[in-house]
Amino acid sequence: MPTALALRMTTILGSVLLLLALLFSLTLEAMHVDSERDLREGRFAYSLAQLKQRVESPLSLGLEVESLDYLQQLLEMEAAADPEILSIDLFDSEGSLLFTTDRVGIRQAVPEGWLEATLALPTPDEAEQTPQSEAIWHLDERDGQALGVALHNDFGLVVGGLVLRHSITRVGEGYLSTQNMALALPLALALGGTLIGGLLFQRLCRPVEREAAALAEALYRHQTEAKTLDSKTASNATGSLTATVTVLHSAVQAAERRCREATGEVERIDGRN
Amino acid sequence: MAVTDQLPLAPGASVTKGETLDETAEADSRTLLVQTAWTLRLRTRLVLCGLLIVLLTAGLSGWLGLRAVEHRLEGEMISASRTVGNGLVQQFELALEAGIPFDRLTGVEDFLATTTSFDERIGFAALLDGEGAKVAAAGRNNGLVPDRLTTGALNAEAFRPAGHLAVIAPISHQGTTQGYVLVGVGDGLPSQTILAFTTAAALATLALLVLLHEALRATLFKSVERPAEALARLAAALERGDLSRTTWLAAPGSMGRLLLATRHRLAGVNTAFHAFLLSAFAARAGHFEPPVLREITDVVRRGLGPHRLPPVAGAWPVAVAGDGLFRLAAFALLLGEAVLLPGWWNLGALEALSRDAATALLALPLLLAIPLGYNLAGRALAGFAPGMTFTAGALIAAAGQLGLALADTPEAVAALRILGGLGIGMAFHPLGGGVALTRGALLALVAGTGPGFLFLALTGSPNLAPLAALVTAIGGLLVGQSLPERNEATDNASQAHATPRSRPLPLFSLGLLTALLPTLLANRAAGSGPPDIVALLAVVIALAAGVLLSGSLAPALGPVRTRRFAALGGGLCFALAAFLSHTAPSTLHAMAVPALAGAVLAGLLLIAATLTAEAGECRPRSTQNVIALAGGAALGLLAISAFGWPLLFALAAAALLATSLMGRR
Repeated sequence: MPTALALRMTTILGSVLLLLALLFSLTLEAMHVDSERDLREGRFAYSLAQLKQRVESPLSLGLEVESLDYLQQLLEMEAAADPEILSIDLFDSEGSLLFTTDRVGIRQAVPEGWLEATLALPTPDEAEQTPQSEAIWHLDERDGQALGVALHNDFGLVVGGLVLRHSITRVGEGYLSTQNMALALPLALALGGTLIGGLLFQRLCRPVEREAAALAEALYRHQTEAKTLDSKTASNATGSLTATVTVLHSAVQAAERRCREATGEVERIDGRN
Repeated sequence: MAVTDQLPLAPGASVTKGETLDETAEADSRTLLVQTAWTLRLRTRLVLCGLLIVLLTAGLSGWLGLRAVEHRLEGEMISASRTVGNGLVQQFELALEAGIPFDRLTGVEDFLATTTSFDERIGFAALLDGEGAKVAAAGRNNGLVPDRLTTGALNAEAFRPAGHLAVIAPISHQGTTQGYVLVGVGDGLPSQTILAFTTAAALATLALLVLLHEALRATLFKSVERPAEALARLAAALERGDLSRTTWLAAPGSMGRLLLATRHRLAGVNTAFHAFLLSAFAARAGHFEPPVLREITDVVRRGLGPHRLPPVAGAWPVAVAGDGLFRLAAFALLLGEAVLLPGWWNLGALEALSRDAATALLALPLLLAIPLGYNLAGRALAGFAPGMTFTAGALIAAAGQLGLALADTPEAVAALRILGGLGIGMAFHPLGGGVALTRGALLALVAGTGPGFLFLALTGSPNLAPLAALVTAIGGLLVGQSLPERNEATDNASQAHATPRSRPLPLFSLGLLTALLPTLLANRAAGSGPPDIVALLAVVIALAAGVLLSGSLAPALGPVRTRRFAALGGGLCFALAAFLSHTAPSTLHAMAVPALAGAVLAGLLLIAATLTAEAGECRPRSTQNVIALAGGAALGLLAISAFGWPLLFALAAAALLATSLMGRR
């Protein structure tokens, strides 16, 4: 049986370890989601760059984007290759939608934000001096994220844009899943730590509790002489407690003795008279 | 047998004839320390044990958690490698379809290098022939690609060279596999991510270590240290023959039972003595024969000689220290504020304000209201138990914090901060002052800020104020229950009055205000931030500083006549400064205000000094100081948007009137 003190200490330790596990798992989960999002974005950015190359190649031959009917099939193939791609849209420089894989969509034009972000991207000349990551824009959407690139003709003018929408995992979505080891591991370790801590606390607290219990018992039974208080119950760790209680009881016993003697004397006086 | 006979005395702890009272008390204190030293040893072991376990768990959780995250990311890494690999395969297949034989492909390395430069996570990209031999490789880690891949490796889903994960994508042409593309993606987390995690983990661990330390310390204090101290003090009292002492401490576990048993024995001996007295005198109902009475009186005198008995109604408790619990209380009370601290500048209502103005609006009303709450609790909650006062204050503080989530104007924020300050001040009342409180407050700052920052980063600012409120409320409810009752803490009035009560809160407020004043004035001079709030806060600070300092300045001003004259001069100075600041041209306005604020401060100091010097007794004067201080802050802040600078003018007029009346008296 764990002692009351050890139990309370263990409860405190357990609570702190549980907090630690929750904080760590939340941080790990956030880190996982961030890294996953980064990786996914990198993958889709690569796909988008490939598509951009394929769309821009025919433009150098003088063809109009609208006339490239095979693009619809190309976009659909790309979208079908990855279940996390929600849609791929191709629009002209006015923002009118030309090709899209979003069959449920009834839009004729892309959102204003997409067009503005596309027009704000660096031109091909500027892009040579900037990192590739700056040639792509990112926008958070209600149901995921959108990545976009600008389509340029040989003169460096924007002729439209390509946007890939993909789903994202939000922080906390997979937090309570059974496969989330980032949560399970700290929890398991916290449990283990609590058990080990409980055992250690128990070991450290037991002598104190035992000695205090024995002393209390001795006090109740009025066994306050050295044979009870200085015996096995007095450990090295808490020898002072026994000494203190011994003194306390010696003083109480002396007072009781004195009281008894005085009472006896009074009775003797009463009896004599 | 004396306790000291059984225990090793501390060095130099000897009692000799002719010692002064102080020396005896010091010796007693040393003896007590020796007697209760075992509790300190026990505490050290238990706390160290707990801290080590938390540290080890944190280390293991962090390391294993990172591995788990990396493992979970594998699927995404495989997808990335496959996507890039398939892109390359398509290009190579196009070339093959154009009639270029596989072994005549040129410029492959440059082509692969372009791909690897697309993303820094791509460690290498390689082209292998149909036998698995390396044809070309590019990327900063291309050395990881072996010269030849075995058939087994080619048939596997992924290839795993050191720290990378690569999907093998076959290049097909006319139904035969011509070669393979290998794109290696780094399988570890970026160093920046790991650094961010390590920092966050270190912050969280530090905070939790402090939390555990404080909680274990307080539990041991309550369960072991205080009972041990009470027993030691009782033993010392009984040794001196003082039977009038007992202890009302309640402790859980065996130590609690020991206390109960001790109390029981003490009650028994006291009952015996009272019964003896009753049988000796009272039971005779006045039928005394003088010789018998003389004889009995002698017996009673001899019997009671060395003892001091308690009154019939009970006994006086021995004094035991409450520092450990007070420290925990301060810690628990301010933990919520510390959690809230990282979110101060993210509150929606303060978005329009500069950082300085937001800081001032959040800090000053709180600090100024704390002394008022402290005094309010002393008067309004006089009959409340300390624990109840503490809990009530903590709940009011929690309500103030919770309201911050809903506040949509700076004025509402200021009002809620005043409410929070009142609550904190009230909760501090049962704790008094002392170093323990300061330590508790500082540790709360360490323990709360880190998790608050993490929570803010992970879940956003709207959740921080409710979390802080929750922490404060839970702390108030839990710790309020464990605060000692009045009769546990002190046994008699002499001890309470032996040490003068320090006034750390007003001094603390003053220190912080003094530190903030230059920032506010500089901000004002730079013309940034909403002028009314900052200017008025500067005035409120001046008022506060003036009122607080007045107690010490007033006597220095000399005779009453001089003080009155000084007050009149100060009032005039204040009025002139306020009038000029109100009417100054706008271009000079910003530059003039700091100087005017200084003049205002000087004027207010003099007025406050005179007013308080006239107030008479020291005790009500200091209370008036505090009330004036907090009241001025509250009124000033609430009137900011409504009145602005004209309010200063009105204040100046009022001050002028007041000092003129005083001067005529």
